[in-house]
Amino acid sequence: MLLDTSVLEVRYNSSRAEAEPLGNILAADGAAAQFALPAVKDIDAFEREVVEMVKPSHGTTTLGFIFQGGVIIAVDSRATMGSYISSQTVKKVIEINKYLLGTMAGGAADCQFWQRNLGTQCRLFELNNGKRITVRAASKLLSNTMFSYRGMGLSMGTMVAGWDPTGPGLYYVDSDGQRTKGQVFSVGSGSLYAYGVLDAGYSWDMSVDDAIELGRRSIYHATFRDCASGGTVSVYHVTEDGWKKVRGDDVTECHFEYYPDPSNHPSTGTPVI
Amino acid sequence: MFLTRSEYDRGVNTFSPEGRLFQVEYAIEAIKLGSTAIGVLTKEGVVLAVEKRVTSPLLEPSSIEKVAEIDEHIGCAMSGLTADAKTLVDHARADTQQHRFTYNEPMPVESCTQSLCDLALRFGEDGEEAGMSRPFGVALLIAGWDSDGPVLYHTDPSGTYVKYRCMAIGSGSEGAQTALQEAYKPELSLAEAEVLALATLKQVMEEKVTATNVDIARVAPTYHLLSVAEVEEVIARL
Amino acid sequence: MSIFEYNGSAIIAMAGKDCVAIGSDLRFGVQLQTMTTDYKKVYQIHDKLFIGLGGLATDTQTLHQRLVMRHNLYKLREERDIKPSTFAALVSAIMYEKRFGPYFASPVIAGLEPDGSPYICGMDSIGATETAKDFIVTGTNSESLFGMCESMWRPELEQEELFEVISQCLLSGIDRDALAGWGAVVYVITKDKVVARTLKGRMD
Repeated sequence: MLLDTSVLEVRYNSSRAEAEPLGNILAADGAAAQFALPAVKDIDAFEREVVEMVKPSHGTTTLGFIFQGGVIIAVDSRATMGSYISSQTVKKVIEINKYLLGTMAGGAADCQFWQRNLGTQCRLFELNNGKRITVRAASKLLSNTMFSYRGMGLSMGTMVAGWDPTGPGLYYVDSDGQRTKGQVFSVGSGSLYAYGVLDAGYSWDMSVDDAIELGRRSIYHATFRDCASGGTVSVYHVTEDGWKKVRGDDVTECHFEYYPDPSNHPSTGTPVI
Repeated sequence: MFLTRSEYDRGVNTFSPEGRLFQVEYAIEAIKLGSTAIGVLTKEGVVLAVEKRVTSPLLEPSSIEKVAEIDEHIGCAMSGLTADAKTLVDHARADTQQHRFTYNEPMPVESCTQSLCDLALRFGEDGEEAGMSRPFGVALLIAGWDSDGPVLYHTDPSGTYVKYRCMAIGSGSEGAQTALQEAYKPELSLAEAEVLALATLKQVMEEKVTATNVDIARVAPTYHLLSVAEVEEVIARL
Repeated sequence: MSIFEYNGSAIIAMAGKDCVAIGSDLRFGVQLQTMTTDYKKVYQIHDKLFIGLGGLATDTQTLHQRLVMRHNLYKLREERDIKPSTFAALVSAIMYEKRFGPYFASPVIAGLEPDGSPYICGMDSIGATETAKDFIVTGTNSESLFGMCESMWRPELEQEELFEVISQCLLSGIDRDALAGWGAVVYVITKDKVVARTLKGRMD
């Protein structure tokens, strides 16, 4: 597979893109070809304005961790436009293929498009090489793509998780081009709350059931404190047989399960006047 | 006749006064030198069987790949210059994935075939960016399964594609086609089709059929290349 | 982000047949962070008068204290409870005092007049009043609250129906607001009693 060095090429006045307005988004190797760019003098200033216009939703809580029994991925399902809740049923886990998952934080369109693009690249890798791509290589494909669009206003904070012959894998990739391998990650506006619960409850040796519950509880606590996160908690478990969705609970049901008596909830406070 | 031919058989985009494109015809001739490949369509799916010419005992048979997966629902068998086929298969793979990306559905088999035939005709002497300067020297049997059920296409270097219920390409194609015409029945089961394809291949092959010198694949409804053990099982049923 | 959305709020007042209702959500947050979930934004002035204060919590608390003080002075001088319409005028005057540096609050007043008729009114941050015979809403997602009220409200609602309607409007309205919710409280005011109920809502 070729290295995507398109970032080094001059992007302006791409005649190919104009000749084929609906032309291929993919180059032959599955990497993304160029997009048509607006004919403006100062592209950086223009893109900054555009980011304001297509403001991506930043509210989200997603987490992932590796433990003895595989990988756990847990996410909320809320989408916001400013303070308006535009959806409570967003699918924030992108199923790249049977063994790879991506999570979604930042711009929904950016995440969906580029992770589907990653899915295509992974499939072509599989056809050309006769074996599955590693999580390490897949995450690198994504981060290379992100790097090639650096500074163009993409917004994406994702975890690529999965299982390959080397075992479980978990990488954090974002739109700045950063790529980090890790054991525990949480991404999004509610990530600090999730980290609090996750770090306190995490241990390598935990059972699968405990790990699923930890993922669920971490997301629940984040949705409680972070108003840009909410809806339902979805939990995925990845093993050598591929991923499996194991839970999908309404967070309000979680709340009354954890705190059956509202008056005993710690989050009460009386205004002192 | 020979003189006329030599005048017009050099340019790949020049018709002869009789209305023929000799380079394309020669490319079709090249296929007749290739190893035999057979495709059989049934209601349960499509079977592809190819002969692998293991020219030396030192050759690793598994490295000869004459059937290829294009996408989950499309496979192809090739005969002729197989190096050319690699280019076509790469193109088809990128195309079917592009279709999945844009439409979130598998690409119809005919669209994929059409796209391959478009590429097959993209040759010329002016050398438009990185294109082929001569016709592709391969024929393909494209087996697929889409919303219309199982289907088998044959393509050749002229960019023509035709649907078949049964087809053979390569050096043994003539004999194989005659045999297939006699033995083929539309109500064949997939297992019977495997036997028919392999038996026909056996007739036209110079060597004895073994699990290492043939490849069998099926699309029913997804692509599967039979393992050595599975091929042995088919041989046992002959 | 507007300063009105710093803490988050949702308030509805609704008129029925010889009764009024007023309710608010229970969240108190700082921008995206939820601090407490039992912060009522509706205050009782007397047996038949309530005020809901949406907007910036520090200003609504100050405003509430000033209103309590002014009502106490009124009672001492007049030896009677203030009428809701009079109270609205008072609130408006207090708000306009700060015309060039307003309280970042939007009040909603609900009460029963001495003749037993319902009175509801809303106000902007500098005291422009707006009375209505059906409902008044304010908060960080007033569009959704308006939409709910427009479709649910009917004239001449009896007190139990009124409670049901205002509760549904409030709960459904705040389900689309990231900055308000976490339960709600509703007061239904009739000529001889006030019924207060706390509602269970989504906790995200």
